[in-house]
Amino acid sequence: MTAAANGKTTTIRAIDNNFVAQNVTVQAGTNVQWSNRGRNDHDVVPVDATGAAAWGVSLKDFQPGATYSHVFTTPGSYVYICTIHGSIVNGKGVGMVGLITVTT
Amino acid sequence: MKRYLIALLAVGFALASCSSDAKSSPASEGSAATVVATSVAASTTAATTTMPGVSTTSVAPATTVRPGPVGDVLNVPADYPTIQKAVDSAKPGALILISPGTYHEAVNVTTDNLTIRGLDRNTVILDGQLKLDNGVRVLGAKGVTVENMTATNYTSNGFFWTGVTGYHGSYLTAYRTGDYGVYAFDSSKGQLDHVYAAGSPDAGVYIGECFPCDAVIDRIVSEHNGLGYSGTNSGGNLLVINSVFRFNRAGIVPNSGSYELCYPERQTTIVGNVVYSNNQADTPAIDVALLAMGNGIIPAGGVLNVIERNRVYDHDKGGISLVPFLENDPNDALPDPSTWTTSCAESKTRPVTEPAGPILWDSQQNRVIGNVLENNRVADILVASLGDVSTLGNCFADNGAASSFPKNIEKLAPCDAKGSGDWNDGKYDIASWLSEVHPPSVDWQTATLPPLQPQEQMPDAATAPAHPATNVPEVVNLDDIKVPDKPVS
Repeated sequence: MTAAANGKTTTIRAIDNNFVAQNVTVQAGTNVQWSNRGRNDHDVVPVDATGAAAWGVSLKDFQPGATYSHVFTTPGSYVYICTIHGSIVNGKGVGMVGLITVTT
Repeated sequence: MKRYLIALLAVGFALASCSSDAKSSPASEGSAATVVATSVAASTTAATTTMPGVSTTSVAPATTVRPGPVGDVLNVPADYPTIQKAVDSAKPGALILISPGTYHEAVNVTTDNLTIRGLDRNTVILDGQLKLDNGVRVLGAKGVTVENMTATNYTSNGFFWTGVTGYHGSYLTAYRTGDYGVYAFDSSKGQLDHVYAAGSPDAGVYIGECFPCDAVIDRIVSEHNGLGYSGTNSGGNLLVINSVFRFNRAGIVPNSGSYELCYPERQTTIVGNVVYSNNQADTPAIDVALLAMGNGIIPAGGVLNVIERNRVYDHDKGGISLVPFLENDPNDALPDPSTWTTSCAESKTRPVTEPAGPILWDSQQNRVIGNVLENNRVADILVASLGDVSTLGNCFADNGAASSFPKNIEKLAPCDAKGSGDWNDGKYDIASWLSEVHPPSVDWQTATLPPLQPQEQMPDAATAPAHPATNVPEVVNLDDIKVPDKPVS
């Protein structure tokens, strides 16, 4: 089940080296915008490989000051990391990791 | 299956402590490139770099492994073709011994209490070839020691610990890296010693986002970086001692800012360092390094620091500069001083209030005592604010006949005594600083660096037992530290 864009936007700051807020819950159809507000390079990479093809932003396109947006239309839990400063270790987030929970 | 995986990760993520709960099995993600190049012959002698004020003993690196350390030892490449394979196979407490060679790897470490050691600091070389991100990255694993090796040409960091309790980096060389040379973030109970770091646009050595950090930086040399040392929002039993910071854009730069968590920077103790000639215009440099250029010790927006018995000379601007940091695009409001000593963990739970405009982090309540300063061309001691500098609570004593802005700073603001005089006599115009134009950054990949000289080896690399970082930092008697001599050219 997917939802159309609902016109709402939620912002996540990528600072050094944290996503703020780290856990975000949005309704399906919400536009999530990441803003690199740190001094360092970061990226936004979904842990799920299939999702990686659909959303995320590379280091090159997410330098300090840059923004990236994606509309989440399908309910579910979306874990993502900055590949330089975070990882998933044994199913747990370590370092620069974020979670978006998309509800109906 | 995909849905199950995501759900598992989400649950794990939601429950995880980001800093201390990593288990000992390897990461499921294979981000490390694992191509091993040819071995090269170990050198048989090691020269040492001059480290003023520090006893440096030339130690011949061992090239044979008999008798070896007892216990669980994994040899690279004899037993495992890559460092990453050895790390992934190691159990907590193991020692990984790396033979001389060039290793094109980005090693991730997620197992507690490992000791990862090169047999020869100068010929065990991790080379990122300007493509890989971190030479060694320790992710949430407690007590990992990394020692006696070189990392070069990494796009991010040479050696990187994040979210750990207990870390030790020793006899490490970081040379030409895209962010930091040696980098400890969101980590506590650590020690970085006998490090040589050159060629980073940010800091050669960095400890950030921790309070209390319970960490020691001791006997390092940091040169030709944007910043020699940087510590954003760190402090609390954090010592920077017995080290050399030279030929950077700026030398020692503790700093506050809401671009990381756990603000402000506070309670860093800086004692017994030689800090000189940090005016280097041909380094790579982030914006902050450009702004801080020409200063020796500059706690920009730092509070409650102790700066004592350092030798600081030959700077175009200030020797010790207590100046504000203007954050144009802050992520939170200034913390109330009553929260300055709140632990990092607790401060992360505070709600964030994004200000409508810039905020100014003043440098406050720092103690500057017994330093030897000369030939700092704007002033040996420079104190400034956009507000009333007399109210900031910094104090100064026994710094010799140092020149200062404002004039007679030791009479205006003595330590543990009442000051007198005119704060407007020699008031420094800090606003003009912001409009200055500095030489631009140089690409870190191509910046001209001094040729990498052989660095001091750790003693007994082949035979010393594993020593995970479970008993760090070292105990330091600050009273024993004297003002270091000038280095011999």
